[in-house]
Amino acid sequence: MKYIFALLLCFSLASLQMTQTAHADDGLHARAFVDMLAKQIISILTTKTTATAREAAFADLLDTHANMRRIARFTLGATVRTISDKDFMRFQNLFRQLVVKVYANRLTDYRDETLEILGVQQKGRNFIVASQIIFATGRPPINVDWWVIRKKNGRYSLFDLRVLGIWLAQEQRETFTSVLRNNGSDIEVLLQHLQKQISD
Amino acid sequence: MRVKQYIVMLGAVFILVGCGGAPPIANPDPRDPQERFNRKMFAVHQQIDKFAIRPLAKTYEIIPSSLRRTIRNFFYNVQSPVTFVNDVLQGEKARADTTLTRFLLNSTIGFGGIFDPATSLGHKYHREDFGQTLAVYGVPPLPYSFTPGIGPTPWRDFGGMLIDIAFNPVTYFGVGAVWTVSGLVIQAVDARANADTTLVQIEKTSIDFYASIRSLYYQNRESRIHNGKIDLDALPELDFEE
Repeated sequence: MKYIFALLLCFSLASLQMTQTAHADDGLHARAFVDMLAKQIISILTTKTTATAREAAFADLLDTHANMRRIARFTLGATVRTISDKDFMRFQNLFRQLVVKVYANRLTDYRDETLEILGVQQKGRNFIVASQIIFATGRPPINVDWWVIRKKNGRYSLFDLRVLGIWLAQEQRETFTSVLRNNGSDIEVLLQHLQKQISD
Repeated sequence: MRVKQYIVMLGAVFILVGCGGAPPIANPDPRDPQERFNRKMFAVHQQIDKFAIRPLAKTYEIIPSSLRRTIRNFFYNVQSPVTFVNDVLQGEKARADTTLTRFLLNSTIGFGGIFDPATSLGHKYHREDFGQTLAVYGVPPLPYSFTPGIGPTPWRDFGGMLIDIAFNPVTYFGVGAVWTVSGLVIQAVDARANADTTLVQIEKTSIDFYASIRSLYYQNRESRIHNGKIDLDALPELDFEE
């Protein structure tokens, strides 16, 4: 009986050790993913000089490294369960265009900066990579946290960004939910708002 | 007497705007049960911002940035006792030490706070208020409210702000109350000037500016309450397929 107990204990410790190693590796991978992503963003900001070129490059970057379907579903809140697939596809398409338009242009102020990664926290397949944008001008650094998800296929994708304490997808979700709440959960109204915002 | 009349008039305008006859929102945000009224207050605030606060902030920006930094340093230092009390009430010993060290350094070799040698020595500035302390003790922010000329003022945070004024020793020196309120106004103008580009961008790109400001306010407060740390257990669950 004692042998069985000792054997079980050994197995438990060994598996715990393996889990910790795997988690540490995951942290390193998530960190490397964010580092790669930041370098690509800075490259776009420095090499793409027109808004159209920047937006096209950002769209490619998002399609490759962010799970836009997952983000779009999150930003719709509970409404996502009540709308048709067709409406969701229309929403996802408009949402992607909005994200590209808004953030490709908002980020232009950060072209000469560097990103320093400070650490990684993990919960299951979710990783929060803490970083700081260091300004060449001597302006105080800005904290940016990257919410990265390890997919079932082992690849990493960006889910959300937290700038100065604000989660961007969360902010979009609260804004979209508010529009829906104020318009009888009518998805058409939200789609019209998005369309108008993109066209402006 | 004139001030009193203005206050009464302003109150009357708010009440009239609030009683516009429109029905309440059928399904308001649970944090914002008076959303329809608050949206009207927000609209009033936008007019005040357009014609008074933003022009004031733009005028303030004419002052050289080094002088603005000096003014900011001074008021940060004046507020240190309030931050210190709240650090202590929140049981944040290390942060209370930092606040006390900053106050001693900046009040002496920083010439009464106009310079900030403490930051160069590794003692970074942070701010705590009584609203955050109440949050640490579990007091919820509900309900959300919006006060024209001030901004988002959930009852917990608005009450906290009044208690902070009472806690500030400066309030009790000479014309202290006027001094404290003037300090708050200058800091608000300074903050408005700094946030101008961001606010313009958000207004331009948001499909519901009121909801965006509410979200930014709550998220920013949550971040401050947790001193910028992320609680992984508090992150929303992503309960859908990849």
